[in-house]
Amino acid sequence: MNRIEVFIAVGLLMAGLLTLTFRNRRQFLIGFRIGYTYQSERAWKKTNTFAGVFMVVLSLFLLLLAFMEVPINGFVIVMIAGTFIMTVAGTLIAKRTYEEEDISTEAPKRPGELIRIDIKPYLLIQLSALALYFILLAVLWNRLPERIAIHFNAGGNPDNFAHKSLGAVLLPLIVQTIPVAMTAMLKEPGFAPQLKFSERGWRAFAEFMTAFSLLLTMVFATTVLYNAGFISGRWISYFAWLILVVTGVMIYRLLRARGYGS
Amino acid sequence: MFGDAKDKALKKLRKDMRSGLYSFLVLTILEREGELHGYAIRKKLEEFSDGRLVPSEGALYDILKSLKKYKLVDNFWAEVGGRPRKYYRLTELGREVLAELKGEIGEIMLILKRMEGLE
Repeated sequence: MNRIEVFIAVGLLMAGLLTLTFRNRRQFLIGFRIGYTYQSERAWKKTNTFAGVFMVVLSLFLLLLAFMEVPINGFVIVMIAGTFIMTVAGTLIAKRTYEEEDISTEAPKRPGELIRIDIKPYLLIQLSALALYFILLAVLWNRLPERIAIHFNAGGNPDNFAHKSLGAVLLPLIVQTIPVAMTAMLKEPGFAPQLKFSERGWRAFAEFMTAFSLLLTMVFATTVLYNAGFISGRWISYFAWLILVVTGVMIYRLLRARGYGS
Repeated sequence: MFGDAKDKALKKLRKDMRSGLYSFLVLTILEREGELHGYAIRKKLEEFSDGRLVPSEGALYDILKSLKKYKLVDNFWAEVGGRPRKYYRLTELGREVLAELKGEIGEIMLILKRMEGLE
């Protein structure tokens, strides 16, 4: 029995129980917290009840896998798939509940201030960069060893390895899903009410996600170039620092766009 | 026992009949009124039917979602009191489809009248 797997499963069980405990009280620390659940008591209750039960069931299943000593890869796949299903289903439940509540609440006959959000250019940039990465990967595929370096220490020396189909194909796809999905969700204003529905707010968020996505793509491309023997590992460290700096600047811009720090 | 069967059959047939009717009525209301919030659409249905044809919030949500999927209505968001509210309007395709449906509804009404006459 692997202690790390048991620790993860028990941690998830605790998270699930805490989510269930706070499912009837909207607050900002524990629970399924997205725009819809922040804005609607009904969406909060329904989504957090679902998420809490789902996490408890998933954690018990993971605990069972840990006791059965299932290989770590299988454990991680079940954990990631479960988390993904919970996130997508939870978001859909929250969105539906919010919109049903919206229908039941009186609204002015004529719309007031329209919310206009255009995320297409941002998605296009992110997906184009990802496509360019895969072109580079296809060109260099035969030059890559079967096991490639996927993680580097501060000195730029590799300290973690994986099969190239996992490290160069699957990992970038999974990681890039986050900025792309976060940008795509912006078109639903209920998803991010903290941005105050202002053009300045949603643009700052879309630019943040686009910059983040481009930097991630560059890191993955640099990793491929390193493994193909074109550049040294120090470049990966430079990009890691660049990501930290750009993320800091983008978060500052986002906070200003929300109305803080101005 | 038979009461149960009657209720079941009525429930099923009502559901079948109303699902199409609701879509038609929502399109008609949007054609008459222009841009409307889901709440107002529901209120209009209540008004026109004297409270007899009022879909639940969930049912109206599904109807509007389905009409949007077929590009018959379009939605947009507006900020009201710090909350995003969803408004709907008829698309050009929705207008064309509604015109066709109106013709068919007219025919159905004619058939129903003829059948009444036969009784």
